[in-house]
Amino acid sequence: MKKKHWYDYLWLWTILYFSLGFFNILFAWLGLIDFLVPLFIAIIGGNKAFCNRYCGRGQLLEKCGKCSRNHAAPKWMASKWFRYGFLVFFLSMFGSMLFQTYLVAAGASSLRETIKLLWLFRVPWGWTYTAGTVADWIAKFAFGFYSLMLTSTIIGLVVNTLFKPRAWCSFCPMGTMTQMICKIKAKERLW
Amino acid sequence: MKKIAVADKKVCVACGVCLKTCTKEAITIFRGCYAVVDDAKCVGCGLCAKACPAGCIAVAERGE
Repeated sequence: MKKKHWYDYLWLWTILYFSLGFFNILFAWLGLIDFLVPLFIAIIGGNKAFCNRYCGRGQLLEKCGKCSRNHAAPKWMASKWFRYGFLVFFLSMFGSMLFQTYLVAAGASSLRETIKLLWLFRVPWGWTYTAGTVADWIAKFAFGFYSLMLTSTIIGLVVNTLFKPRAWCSFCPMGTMTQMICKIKAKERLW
Repeated sequence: MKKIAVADKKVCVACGVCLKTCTKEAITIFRGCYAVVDDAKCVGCGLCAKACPAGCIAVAERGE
């Protein structure tokens, strides 16, 4: 057995994050840590230590690997066009979420206390927020960001079960983005 | 040792599942870009190939 490190328990953070967001949506803002830290590590350190060591979601998926069929994923799932395509799709969805936050901030749109799963299904999530606690746009961003995090976890769990544990990692937008940064820094080919 | 793991650096997503699986610490991720197998340490057991979510590792005969 390999020696356990503190960072081998970061899957607890992922569970904590989703639990906190179930009670108070404003905790969804903490998800920015998972968004910015990998980027900083890639930009400053030029490595994927986040994916390799600290990614709580990856660890959680690994834990859920017991329910995996352990089948090889189709080749296209780790192909460049799918990975970059999914990254573009994910970032545009992120951009659209930011735009909706802006609309709420500008007063052009009102705050809806729901989350949207898989970019399609609106789920009521109103018990996690009392109107007026913070500015509407702050709450809007929290609902949006939580939706994004939960959506990617759902997709992750589906491919985890169908294919191998951590099959999500083969097309995770954060992974693709950080690998891109590392490849640019190391002057490796991107395609 | 007759066999060795070979990672396809064009497909590798550098997620690091292989390093966690390897009992010989024979794999490193080269500057966040792709997995590199140390041929002096690899015993060709194939654990990494089985675990790789991108399916980019194959076990090959040495010297091929």
